[in-house]
Amino acid sequence: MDFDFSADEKRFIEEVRAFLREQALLPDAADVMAPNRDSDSMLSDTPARRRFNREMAKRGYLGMSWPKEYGGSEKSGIYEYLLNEELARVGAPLIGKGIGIVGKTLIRHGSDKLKTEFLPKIRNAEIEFALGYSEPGAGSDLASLKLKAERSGEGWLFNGQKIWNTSAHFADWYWLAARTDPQAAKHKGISLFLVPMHEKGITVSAIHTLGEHRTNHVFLDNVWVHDDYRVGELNKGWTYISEALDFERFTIYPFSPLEAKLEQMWKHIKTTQRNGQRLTAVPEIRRQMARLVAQVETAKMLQRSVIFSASQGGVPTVEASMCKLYTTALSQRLANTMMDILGADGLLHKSWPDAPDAGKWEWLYRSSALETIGAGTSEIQKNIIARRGLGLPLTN
Amino acid sequence: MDLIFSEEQQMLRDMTRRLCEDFVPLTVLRQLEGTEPGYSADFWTALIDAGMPGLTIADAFGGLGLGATETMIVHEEFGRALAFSPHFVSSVLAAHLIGAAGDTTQRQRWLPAMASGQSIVSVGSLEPGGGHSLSDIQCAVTRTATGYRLSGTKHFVAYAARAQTALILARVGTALDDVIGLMVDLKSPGVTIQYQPNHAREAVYQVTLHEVDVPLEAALKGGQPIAAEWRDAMYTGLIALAAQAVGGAERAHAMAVEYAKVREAFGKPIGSFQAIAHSLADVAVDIEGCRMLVRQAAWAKDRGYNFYRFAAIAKLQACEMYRRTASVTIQVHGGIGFTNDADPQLFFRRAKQLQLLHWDSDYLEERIIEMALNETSEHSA
Repeated sequence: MDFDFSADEKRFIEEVRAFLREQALLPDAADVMAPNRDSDSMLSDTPARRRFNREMAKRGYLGMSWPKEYGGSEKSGIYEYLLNEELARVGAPLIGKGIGIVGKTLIRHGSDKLKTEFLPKIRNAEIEFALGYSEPGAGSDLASLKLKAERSGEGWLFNGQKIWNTSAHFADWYWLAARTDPQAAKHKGISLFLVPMHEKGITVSAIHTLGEHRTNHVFLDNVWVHDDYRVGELNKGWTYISEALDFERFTIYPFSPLEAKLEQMWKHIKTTQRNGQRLTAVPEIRRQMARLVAQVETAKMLQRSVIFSASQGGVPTVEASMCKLYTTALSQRLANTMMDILGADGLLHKSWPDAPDAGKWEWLYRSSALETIGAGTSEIQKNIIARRGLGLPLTN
Repeated sequence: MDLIFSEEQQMLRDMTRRLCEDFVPLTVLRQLEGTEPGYSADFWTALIDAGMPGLTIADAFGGLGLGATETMIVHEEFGRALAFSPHFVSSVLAAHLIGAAGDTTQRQRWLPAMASGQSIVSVGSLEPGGGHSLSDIQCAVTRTATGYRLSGTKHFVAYAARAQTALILARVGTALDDVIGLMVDLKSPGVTIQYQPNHAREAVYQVTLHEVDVPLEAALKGGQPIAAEWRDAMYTGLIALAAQAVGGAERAHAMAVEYAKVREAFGKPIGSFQAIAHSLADVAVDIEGCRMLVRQAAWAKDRGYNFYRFAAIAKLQACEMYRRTASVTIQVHGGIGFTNDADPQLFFRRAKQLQLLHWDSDYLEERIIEMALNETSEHSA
């Protein structure tokens, strides 16, 4: 039994850290690395972000786990995990859906044409994707999605709408799930497509959120795409979507931001007095911090459990649900506890120059509300654990 | 990273589990609870035959010389079976203290006898009304011409009626750490032992010491304070206790899951309702997290890393998790879960006892905070 990373893995961590230290010296670094905003930088399109991603590509950090024939280096997914941990620690954009969901699905199921067209661009960070999955009537129950794709000449005609499509306002291509067989059972009539985001008939409309992120509502009105841009087999979309989630087990919720937040909390507690008392001497704060320390360590363990299982070639669906469920709730508890510790000062918005920690906590308290909802709500995670982990006969 | 147990470790687990199943199934446990000496003589003999009392005692003293990982494995199985035995108090806690603070003669005198199971040594630390800090050790000791004279009261002294000897912590000065360890013969004049009815119905005793004369050679470390050794022994012991919590919780949780699959209400198994399924899923997450915390603590200890923080977190989290799991287990069983005939109550009582003995949550939280802040108030040695 050994909880340490291997010598080569440790060497890789050091290499990435050195790379990030170098990047931090560049004039546009603040646009790419925003440790006070988690990996907020990946949610908006800036020249700095594009430059940073191209630099990552140059270093061979994009597609590390891809097969060599597609320009990858066939490394274990654990390296992508370690890379993401270091990126997340400094608030840099994580390696994204292009390398993961889109790239890996194309490698397994895409036609030669799609592979040739997209894989080099993904690996060179020359292309951005938006995922088109959720719909106003299909969130947790994603398989009930309705957006229609109907045969039309040599291609498909799309009509319907999608929601929560982060990055749809700057993406180049749309990774779209559509209903191709309305007669079949709901899981069996979905197909995946690649659609140019700027195609006629696509309207992207902004949704502004509590976390000051922009996400989008996307409307498709008679959008036409050639059948060449269908991904894999017809009506196999649901299988590909589920499979892609499994590829992503290595790149789920990085642990380093939790650790960094805890450190930042300590820094404040150690140096602050309030109501005539050092915060380190307040029994309630001591108790709450002890619990958070223990819980952050527990989150780390749940994550190690996912990483280890994945590194053994397993598909740790249940472990990943456990990790997501625990970590996201913990992230909210951290923000709430720190708001309580900061008191009134903590209410100051980041635009106020003297806001504590540049307004990080006030923002986190808002933005973390999404964590237990996005990428599978906590309730969905519990369903997965109950059904697949415990074998309970759970209906909905 | 490699979280797989070695083949030997897996064999140790299988063997321990089999011994527990053969000798102390829950039907036997029910007969043992609340009785004296409070453990199965057959089970203890079987453990002796397997070399278990000497699990972590060095082979030079007739033990197996195994580490924290093996101790964790064995105690996870003890916890799963709710198996009562003097193994923790004698073979883990006392053996560690004697190994660390005993001189050559003392180690020769005690460890081989403990390793062979011939001697059981209990430990007296807690005092009535006191907390887990050494500051609450009031048991007084004075020097005499031939040794020490000891007066005071200890409670929760495990298996004191069967143990020939108890390692008693006693105060020699006013500083926090002015605490020494004396190997006290429990048959000595002035010693009174009384069974204490308790939550888990475990065989624990109040030991009253009234001007008990103890020879010079009974003092560990030549009568010097043993605070540092005590803490090291406790942090080591926490890993075994946290492992017991994980084992017990796994079993209680499995019982609740099975029950939820077969018990029907409103025409369906109750496990088909989210209210039940989600509560069991939540607990499953805590169990998985704690299982890993305990493994990490054992690994760190065996590697020679500073493991105190890991051990404290593991005991804190695992005992709270066990308590919650046992409570959910009763809730899922409904009315039947509240009866003495059903098994959930056995786990429910054991969980709380495990949480409050051997450093409770309050004490552990303070240790975790001190380590995080590099404070030294309690652990200055």
